[in-house]
Parts: sequence; C-alpha cells; structure tokens
Amino acid sequence: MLKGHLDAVLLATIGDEALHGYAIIEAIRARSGGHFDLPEGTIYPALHRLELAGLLASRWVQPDGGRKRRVYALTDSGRRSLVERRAGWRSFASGIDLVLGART
Amino acid sequence: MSGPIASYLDELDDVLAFDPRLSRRVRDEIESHLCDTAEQVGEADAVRRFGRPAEIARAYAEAALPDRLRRSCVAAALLGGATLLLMRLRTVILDLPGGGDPLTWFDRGGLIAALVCIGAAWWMASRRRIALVRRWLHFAAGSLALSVGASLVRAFQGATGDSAHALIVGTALVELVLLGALMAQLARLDRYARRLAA
Repeated sequence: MLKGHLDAVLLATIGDEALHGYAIIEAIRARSGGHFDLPEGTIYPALHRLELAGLLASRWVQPDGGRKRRVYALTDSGRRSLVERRAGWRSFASGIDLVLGART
Repeated sequence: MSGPIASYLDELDDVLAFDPRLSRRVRDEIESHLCDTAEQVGEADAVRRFGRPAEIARAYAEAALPDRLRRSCVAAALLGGATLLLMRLRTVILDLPGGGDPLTWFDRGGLIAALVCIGAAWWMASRRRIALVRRWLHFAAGSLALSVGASLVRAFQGATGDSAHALIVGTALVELVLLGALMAQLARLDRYARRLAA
C-alpha cells in the first residue's frame, strides 16, 4: 500500500533534519504508530534514487567514538518536492474521504 | 569481521559487482545499518530483516537506472558534438576539399547517422526502454567511430606540415578519449541491464 508513497514518506520523515538510514526507518515506524514496518532493505535503494534525482544530499559523519554513518538531508529541490507531494496528498485524501464518506 | 553480517556483505558485494563504486558505497552504509540492528536483535535477525542480497541489488540497479541512462546519452551527445566541431575545425584550418569522395561520405554520413541514433536513444531513455537505448547508443558509437576514422584519414591525406599533423593528432586524441568514455558508459549500462534481467 505504501509503495506509491514511499518517496513522499521518506522526504517528510527526513524533513529539516539530517538522518541516517537506520534513524529514518525507526522514525517511520514510530511516527506511523507501527503501521509502517518497512522491509529495511527497500529503504536504502529508495534513498539512493532520491539522491540521484537531486531531492536528497548525503554525506558521511562519524561522531566521536561512534560508528561512521551516511546521513541524508533534503536539498532545496527536495523541499519543493515535499511541499508539492503534501499538497497532492491532501487533495487526494480529501477526495477519497468524500467518496468513501458518501457511501457510509 | 566474521559471522552472518560479514557473509551477507560479501554476498552483497558479489551481486553488486556490476557497479564497483556503488558496491563500495552500499557495503559501508549497510554494514553500519546491520551493526545498529544487530545490537537490538542479533546478527542473524538483522541480516534476515534486511532482505535477500539479490533483491537489494536489483532495487539498487532500478534506482540508479534513470541516472545511468542519462549519463550514457550525455556521453554520446558530447561525443557527437565534439566530432562535429573537430571535424569542422580540421576542415576549415586544413582547408580540406569538400568533395564527394567515399571518405567524405563516411565522415558526414556516419556523423548524421550517429546524431539520429543519439536522438532516438534520448527518446527511448525518456520512456525507460533500456534495451532500445542500448541498441541505439551502440549504433551511435559505431557510426561515430566510423565518422571519426574517416575524418582523420581524410585530414591526414590533405595535411602538410608538422602543425597540421599536430592538429590532427590532438583532435584525434580528444575524440578517442570521448569515444572511450562512451564505450565505458555503455559497458556499465550493459552490466546494469544484465543485473535487472537476472
């Protein structure tokens, strides 16, 4: 069900932060109340695709004494895309609400 | 490092061998992820939750494909443009005759054919028709090689003096480097296509 919306979910989860893949997966799981327990291996190719599309930028960080991780942040283009996707989703969801509501 | 994570990463390396740079990047990133997960659930479960390496490799190949197609088309377009410019440069500076001999025909005909093929490849790339993009770009590379070869022979036949020969060799080197870059892009695109077909 999430497949067509994975990019929007990833962009929204990253938002204004710079997050690594593990933190992104944990954040999606927490924010969705456990509804979206994504197969972990699907996230990294999607992040790579968004980076190649110019919507994300990534860099390696290594905190003192911590593990080296690649963190992702939205680019300006990614922020614009997120705004558009949010608007598109709201329009779609309100349409679905109207249709489903009319049948109950 | 040994154990399930190390075995998993080795297997991932094997299936990502179609792009060594991507493989290095993925290995480091996924190793970090698996170690984080393993701290919670153990190595065996961390690996199991991540998914099969072949599926991960395929997902990466699909993710990188649009960029790979674009790079191949850009390399072909650059070579086509450079071939046109350098051919004109040689013709003007060396004052080559523009007659209808076979070399001129191969020179110009090859270039025109290549530009048509590159246009067709761009169009197919926009529709993600990988097999057709590869086919058109291979045609383009062959046509450009023919055009460059004919243009160089034609230039050498009409050239006199060291400076003329230096110009021909210099421009030929630029064209050969670009042709090599295009062939490398095509080889990488072929490896991606094989991974996706596997």
